[in-house]
Amino acid sequence: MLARGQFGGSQRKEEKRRSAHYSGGLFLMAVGALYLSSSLASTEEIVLISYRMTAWHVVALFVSTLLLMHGFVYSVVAQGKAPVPADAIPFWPIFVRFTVVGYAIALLVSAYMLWTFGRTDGLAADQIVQAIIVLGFPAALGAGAARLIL
Amino acid sequence: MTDQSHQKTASEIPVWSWVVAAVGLVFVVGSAGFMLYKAIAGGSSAPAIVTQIDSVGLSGDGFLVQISVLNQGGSVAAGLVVEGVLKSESATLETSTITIGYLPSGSRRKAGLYFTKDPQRFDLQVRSKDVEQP
Repeated sequence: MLARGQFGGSQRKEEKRRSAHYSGGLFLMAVGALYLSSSLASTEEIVLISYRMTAWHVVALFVSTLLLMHGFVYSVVAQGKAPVPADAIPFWPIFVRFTVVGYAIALLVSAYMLWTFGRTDGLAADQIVQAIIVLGFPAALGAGAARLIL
Repeated sequence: MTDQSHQKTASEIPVWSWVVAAVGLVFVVGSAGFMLYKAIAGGSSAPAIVTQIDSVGLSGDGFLVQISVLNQGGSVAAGLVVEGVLKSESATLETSTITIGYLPSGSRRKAGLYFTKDPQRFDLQVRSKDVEQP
């Protein structure tokens, strides 16, 4: 019983440590996204770029940003800064738990910043999504860089 | 050995992080799906501008006509000029124009036109005049 208690306790501690590491990584990504997007969302250029882009341009930017984000995440994992073994990096768990979540955070931060600066006023829903994806590019860059550097 | 370490790693991942991942996946896939749908189904018809008078009131030493401009077309209207004309019978008494930089498809902008004469006493016509496509 003692051994089980000791083992279970250390397992719980390890799980808590991993949870804290993961949530800390997401927090750093949010801070990085906020840092870069806050300085750009206040300018008119982001929405002007989104107006001039076709839907296919936006789709291409979306895929490019996702790949960029995965590049950052892969570097983080390869350097052993994520709670994943660096010697055998599984693609899907890393992609879904870090890349996709990091990009979702970057998009959410972008949406919040555009709304804060009144850049979504009077825009149709598809135009708002376009503007979010355009601002999501520097936000994802900030999120990935923050996770890698900090 | 590698499979075992993968299984071990997967079992050690907290459940809540998978929930976060699922929410993130839904958000990202939803955004991508929305833009793909728009890219495949969306047309690029010319801008179709609709203007609407919201209110007329005193403003300073003149009168302010507040208007809403809506683009019902499938593409962005750039450098859109909206003109308001005050007419008395067939004679034009006063003209006021405003230029809206960009008006995207399906979007609405609010603007104002200033007149020195009371627009409520005369015939006021508001229409889009010139537009360019970026």
